Amino acid sequence: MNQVGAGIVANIVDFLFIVVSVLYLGGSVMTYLRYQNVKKTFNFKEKNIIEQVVLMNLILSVVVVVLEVILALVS
Amino acid sequence: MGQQSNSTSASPVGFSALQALRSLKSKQNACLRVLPDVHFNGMEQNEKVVLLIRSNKLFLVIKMILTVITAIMAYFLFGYALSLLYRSMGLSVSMMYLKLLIITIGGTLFMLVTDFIRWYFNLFLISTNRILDLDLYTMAAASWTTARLENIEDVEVKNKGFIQMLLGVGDVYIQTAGKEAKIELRNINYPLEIQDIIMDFSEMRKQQSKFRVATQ
Repeated sequence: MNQVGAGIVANIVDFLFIVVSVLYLGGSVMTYLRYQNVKKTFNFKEKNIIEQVVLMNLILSVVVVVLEVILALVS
Repeated sequence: MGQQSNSTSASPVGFSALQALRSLKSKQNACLRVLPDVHFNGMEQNEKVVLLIRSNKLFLVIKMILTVITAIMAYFLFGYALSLLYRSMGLSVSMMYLKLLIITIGGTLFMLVTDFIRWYFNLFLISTNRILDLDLYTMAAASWTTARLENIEDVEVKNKGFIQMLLGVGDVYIQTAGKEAKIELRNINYPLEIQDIIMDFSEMRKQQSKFRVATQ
């Protein structure tokens, strides 16, 4: 396969990685929203720990998206 | 494996429920809390949450382990497939592996957190006035079912399969008179004690209702 074709395939794979990471970000946002929704209904003693876990998940998914975009641009 | 079913009517009012609550108080953990510090929307003035119940933690741990194993297998499978493709085109595979690793780690962490949140918020509350069942099917779909204690008609416990038998957990099915006819609690600890408590509380509420009607 020539260089142009190889480049196109590599770009498609990079694009798919970014799409998957954006899906993870979407899922993390949904998890955060669901947690906020449940928090309005319940008042739990351990809510701070759960909130930290959910926020950490959200931040990590953003980091994954950013890393994938940077690696796609660099490679 | 055999399936045993245990459907019972109410025990002597109040006493066996108190005995069961006393015995459960010493066995509290994240899956079972007696008199937890929990409040919810729509809670009545003198209402108090007596029990908070979640499914046995081991099922969450098994699910998480399976998630990690699946992620590792997916990483090697996709990595191998993509490396064949990249090598056939003369492209470098090291960056591809790095991107795939980041995706796999991010995705695995997301799945683990989701599994935990779903377990944590799939809960069942018994208060002095009612029972409440919160089911989190996915992050996008949840259901919230309540039933007054006096509307409970029957409580059934089923112990199915080798794992449930080994762990001493069971499924509790609560038949109510309301629209949501059956409430299900899966893989919970001390199912017989829970059954006892629900039936006793239900009987107490029914007797209180009858007394109120009789004195009006």
